[in-house]
Amino acid sequence: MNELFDPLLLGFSVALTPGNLFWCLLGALLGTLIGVLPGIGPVATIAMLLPITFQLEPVGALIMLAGIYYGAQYGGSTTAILVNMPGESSSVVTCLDGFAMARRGRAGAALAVAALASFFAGTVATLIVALASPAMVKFAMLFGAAEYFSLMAFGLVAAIVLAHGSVAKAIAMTVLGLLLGLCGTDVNSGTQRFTFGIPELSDGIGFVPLAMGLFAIAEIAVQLEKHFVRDAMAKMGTLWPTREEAKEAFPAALRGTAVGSVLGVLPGGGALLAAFAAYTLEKRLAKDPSRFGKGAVAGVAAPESANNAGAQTSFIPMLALGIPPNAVMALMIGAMAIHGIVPGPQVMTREPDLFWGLVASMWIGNLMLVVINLPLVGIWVRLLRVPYRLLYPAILVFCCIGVYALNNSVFEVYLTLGFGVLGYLFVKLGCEPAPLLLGFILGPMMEENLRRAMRLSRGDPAIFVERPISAVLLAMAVVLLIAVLAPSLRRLREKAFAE
Amino acid sequence: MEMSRRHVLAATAAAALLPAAAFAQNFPNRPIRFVVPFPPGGSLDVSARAVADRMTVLLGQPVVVENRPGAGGNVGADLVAKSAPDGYTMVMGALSTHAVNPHLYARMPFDPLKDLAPITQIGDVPNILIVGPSVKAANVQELARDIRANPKAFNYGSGGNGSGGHLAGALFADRIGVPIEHIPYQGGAPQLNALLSGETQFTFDNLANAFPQIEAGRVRALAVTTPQRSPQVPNVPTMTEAGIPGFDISTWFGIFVPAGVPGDVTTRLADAAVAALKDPATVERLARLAVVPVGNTPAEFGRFVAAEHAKYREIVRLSGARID
Amino acid sequence: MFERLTRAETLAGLLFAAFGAAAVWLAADYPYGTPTRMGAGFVPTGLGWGLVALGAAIAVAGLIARDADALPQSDTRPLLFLLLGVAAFALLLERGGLVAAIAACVAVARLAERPYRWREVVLLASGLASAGALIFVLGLGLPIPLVPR
Repeated sequence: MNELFDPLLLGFSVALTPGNLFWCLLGALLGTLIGVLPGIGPVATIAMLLPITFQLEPVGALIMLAGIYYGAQYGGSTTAILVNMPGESSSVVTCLDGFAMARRGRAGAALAVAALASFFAGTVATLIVALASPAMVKFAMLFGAAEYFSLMAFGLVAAIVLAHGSVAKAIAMTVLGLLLGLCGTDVNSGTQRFTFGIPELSDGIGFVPLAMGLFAIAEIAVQLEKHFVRDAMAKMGTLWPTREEAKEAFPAALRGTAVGSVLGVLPGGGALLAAFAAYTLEKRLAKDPSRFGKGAVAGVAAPESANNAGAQTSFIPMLALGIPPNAVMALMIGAMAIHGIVPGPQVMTREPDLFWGLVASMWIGNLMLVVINLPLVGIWVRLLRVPYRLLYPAILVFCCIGVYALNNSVFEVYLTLGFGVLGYLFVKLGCEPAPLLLGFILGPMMEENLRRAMRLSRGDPAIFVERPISAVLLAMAVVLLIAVLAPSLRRLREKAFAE
Repeated sequence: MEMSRRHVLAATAAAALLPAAAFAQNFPNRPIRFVVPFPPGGSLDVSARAVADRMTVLLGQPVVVENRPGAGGNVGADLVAKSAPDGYTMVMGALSTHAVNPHLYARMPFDPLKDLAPITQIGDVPNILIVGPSVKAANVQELARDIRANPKAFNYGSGGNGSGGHLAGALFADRIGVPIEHIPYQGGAPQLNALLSGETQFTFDNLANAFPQIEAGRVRALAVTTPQRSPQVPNVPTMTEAGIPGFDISTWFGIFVPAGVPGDVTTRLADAAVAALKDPATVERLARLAVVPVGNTPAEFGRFVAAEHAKYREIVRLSGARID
Repeated sequence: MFERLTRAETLAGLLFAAFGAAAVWLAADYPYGTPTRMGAGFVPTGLGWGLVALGAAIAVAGLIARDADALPQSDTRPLLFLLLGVAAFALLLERGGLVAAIAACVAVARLAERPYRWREVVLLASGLASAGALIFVLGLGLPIPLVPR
């Protein structure tokens, strides 16, 4: 047992020094702030703070940077729930049911559930980082191009489950998302696709302009059309989750944590994919899936726990292998390197203070965040009483600045504008944007891995069924597809007979 | 931090009236933008921040790093190429923007040799040939022999089409006379992952990226692609020593300003940058990122860039990479 | 017939088919390649045709259905002013600085909703401009010009 507790004790002795507690709190607060603000995310913030960390002790510096990263996951859900504006890309899924709950006057409960589910997930995932890093890395290493492709295929089928309207439209939205995702320079050949000669598009369409246009701008336009929505909002029930809500949220958070912890370790997808997957799982498991999208508590608890768990476990490839799974981790590695710490498996043995101190601080930071966020719930909810004619220009302005600040690019602001129009059209035509977003994220990864797998196998498609993990994932995708399509096919047949 | 507008106007008006020498004395009187045309993270970006941090102290005005990624660095470099030549906008140019892209891209939005003027080379990151755990070869010759015996069993990964790793791999395949399948990844991290999991067999990675894995014994380093051995991995031979001569590929980067910046402003910037590269703390930070600091004069840097530009024409052609 | 054409279902199908056709058309310029070495056009072409087929199916289903939802009533005035507000922000940001861009964005976008009270709009614009400057430029240190460079 000492093997477990001694290092953890060491970790807490490092993380609980006043200096490191301060950095942890500062990181968590800063993270919450940038999480609430749309667009500007942890990457930009950590990049700007990097020179400051040169002067700090490496442990304190990393604790603060880590705090910014997971703090942003907490903050991101706030605006998603309150105004349907995903503050952080991983909180897009939270918009679906979180905002619906807010409309029903349950904004307080949604915020509380989000914070508590995140805390629970953060605690579990921190333990996983501490105990199971080597095993998780071995698992991630089993994933090659074929496995990724099959995982993405499974994810795409899951995208169809996200929608609660017509299955055909959901599939079409997914395909459209895949196509939008292909915009930019093709990794394999370097061909510029769908860029119309615009250099800003050469690295593809940004996720933030797309999500801001489809969600925030379209939503404001629709809200302004029907003034009555606001009155419904004014009726506010109790701030805290009811017993029934808590009962529904807990198992969802449990499953969300599991999904998030596993997917967080895989490079590329991370927190965002985890949130989508957890939501889909809940909807499949629910007794009454039609409640999803209309304010189901499980639809908030699952993605929120998944994205926070994923954020924590994405530290594993960085800490255990020294390979960053995303841009934030790349910056953290830069911060370590500057201090002469070589990231990788040696960190645990050579710098136990740093490794265990960071792990312990992650749990402390999560605790701080829940303590900070719960009292804020009341304040945030009061924000909804601000007349909409004052609130919406504020949302719009913060959207614009956030989108611009991503790449310091005005072009992205125009792009947001364009997607706003498209999003409005989609609302009017009864097409839901969530499957499109998932397709958009998966599209480029899926194509890349398909082409890579075919190159590696020298053109033999059997590679997808010969490799066991890939075969299982594909089989699951097929089963899920049949399960999704069966009811609508049956309906179609009944209709045909009735004619 | 922000100067009042009247202040700036007054300073600009004064500068217009006074001769150029006096202008340089006033320079800089407002913050300087330092565009990094790549995403944050990675040794180039972190080096830029380390140098900017020091230059801020030396120049007495903030040097603000701004990431403008896209099109292999062309988006950010083009932005600076088209900015006012007043010394208040600089760009971290690199091997890609100045030597590779001009031959890789069918359409370049700017001419790196004419539209941008060199200030100083910040540093050099050696590339290193590493093999994954599944490869038995103990040195470059054995690797070449195994590839010739069974070319289908070998793939090399790179950080993308036309990246330094791709060009080095193509050059290697050409030198040993066997075509080898190139598998491009999105950046340095995923290609390293693929090497570790055995999806690819070897790769030419930059030393900063590869060093942790070499140190942990997860991958084996066979040769560095610079003319001299690297102090970080002194036991690893150069490609020439390993029997493949004329193999000099390293990822270099340095500061450029728009063409037409007055000479004394250029001197002021170059002096500050070179002084930053002599600052012991900065040197140590760069060394930890596997960056070999350079800090030459604008003229020396200009000659170097022109030579690299010429050299990569042939290498890019060999690789067959092209971006339309 | 016109009633059937303007159904949400039909229009959605046509929109998808149009996007698909555009993708196929644009992707025709990209090398197609072979299954082993897929070119840049391989996947987009396939997806484009898929989208055309799906869109056509949705449109036809919308046309032949006996009763389907008509296109909901729309008032595009709010959307128009929102878009103009965003455009004003984008136009002014790098030329006139953050403060001017925010002020213009608020003043224009606020036209989307009545009542438009001048004093309130001016207060809101100045409040948001100072909040934006404080949080993003002074607080987070983003390299955004506050006033014209």
